[in-house]
Amino acid sequence: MNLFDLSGETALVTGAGSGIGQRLAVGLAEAGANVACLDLPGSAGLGETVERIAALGRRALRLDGDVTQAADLQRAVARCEADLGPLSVALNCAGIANATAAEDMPEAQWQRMLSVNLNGVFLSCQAEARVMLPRRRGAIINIASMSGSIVNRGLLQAHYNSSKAAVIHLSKSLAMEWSDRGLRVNSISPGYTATPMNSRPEVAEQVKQFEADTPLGRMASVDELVGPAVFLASRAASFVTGVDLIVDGGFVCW
Amino acid sequence: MKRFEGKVALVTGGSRGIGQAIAERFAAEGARVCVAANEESVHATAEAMRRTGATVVSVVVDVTRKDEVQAMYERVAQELGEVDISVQNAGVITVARLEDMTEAEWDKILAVNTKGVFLCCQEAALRMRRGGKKGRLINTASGQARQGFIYTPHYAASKFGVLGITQSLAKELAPTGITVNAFCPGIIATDMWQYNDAAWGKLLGNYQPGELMAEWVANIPMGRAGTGADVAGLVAFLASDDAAYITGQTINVDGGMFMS
Repeated sequence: MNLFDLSGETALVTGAGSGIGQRLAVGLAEAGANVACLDLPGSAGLGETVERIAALGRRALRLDGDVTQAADLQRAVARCEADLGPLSVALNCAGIANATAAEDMPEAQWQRMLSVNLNGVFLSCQAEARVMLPRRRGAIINIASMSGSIVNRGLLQAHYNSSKAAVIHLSKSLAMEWSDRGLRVNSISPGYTATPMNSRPEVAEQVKQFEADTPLGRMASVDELVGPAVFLASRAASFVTGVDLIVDGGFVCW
Repeated sequence: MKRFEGKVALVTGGSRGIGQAIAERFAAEGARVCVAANEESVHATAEAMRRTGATVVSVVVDVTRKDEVQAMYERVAQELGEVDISVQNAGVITVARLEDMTEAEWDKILAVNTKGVFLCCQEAALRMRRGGKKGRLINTASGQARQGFIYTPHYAASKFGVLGITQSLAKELAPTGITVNAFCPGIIATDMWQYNDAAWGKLLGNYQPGELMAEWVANIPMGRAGTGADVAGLVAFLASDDAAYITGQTINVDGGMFMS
């Protein structure tokens, strides 16, 4: 069955230098796509992402840029199209997380969270859609979070939760706007995932709680987000748009 | 096991000179490292370190801007984990006679060398304290924090200021186990000293390039200029578990130029 084949597709992945974005960039290449990989200048892992994609025999492009800057995104999309071909898959993963009690949170911290996690996704979608819409073909996937649907007990991250809820609704809104012009827009909401952030010794105790609270009894491996991303990017999801695909080991069901 | 395995170290002014040597030392001893500087060449410094197998993030930052400093530590947390060791090393100098010293020059040196050190210490310490980390703040002062040199009142003031910040924060943070120390490099063979040699040389007499520095180095008891590696060894010690009971101190690393 080649419903999931992405051969010949050109993908752009933001936040491709680490964590979920890095794994999904490689995952799209495993499914056959050529992938442009965007992260901030100086990213520790972006070179590795590009090397892993090239090792799969796919074409990869390293792009430096900031998703809060529309001009960076426009430049990234243009370079992606010039070097790899017409953009047909976009995976917007760039995001940040941190925690502070709401009553103590400086306004700048709130603004920065919204700026990266929400404005960054909007500006990415906008830059990507501007080249996809005239061709009437493209799939956009935004990484939200289960924290956009539920509130994580004990985690002081009102700004993060709000930003992710907004990403989910933004995705649905764009799905509606662009539905009659060949674009599909969906979001993926991971649950607790074993990224470098969650593998540090200082969060070991919290991680035990995360695992206990998850019906499947563990955190997701980033590998387990590849299937959902490839599905939404591929022909297999040709009638799927405006959906938030929660990949959480059952967390939100109880 | 390497001394800094599992640790995250950040070094401002990390693109060249002393900062680069410190960053390389941390990486060689197993730390994940952020090199930060107010110049794009910091990315090339990081790339060279990555070729040795190190995990390195590079950030272009203006340490005089609080928003940029906060964003830098946030980015490090995202990509490497929360910072364990923060080295406030970014510094600038000019050399000018009293009548030629501009107000802008004064403000700039104080902003980078003193305010910049404070802003980085502030953000790093708040994060360390929030995470219950017994972190390390290490500030680059100078021989000019022991004795002002001629034609650099702004630089001397800025570096004496670094000692004040170090001692004050060391007291405030002592109960948390976060230590704050400073070090005073003497004459170190870096780009900055190439500038110093030329700038002081012009004002102090008819010196050819290298002559003034050679004259000053001749007065150092150990008879040679220092290297980045000389400084990095001290900084690595201050950052290590062995230095857990040392705080609020300022240590000279200058071949005996100043003895305390």
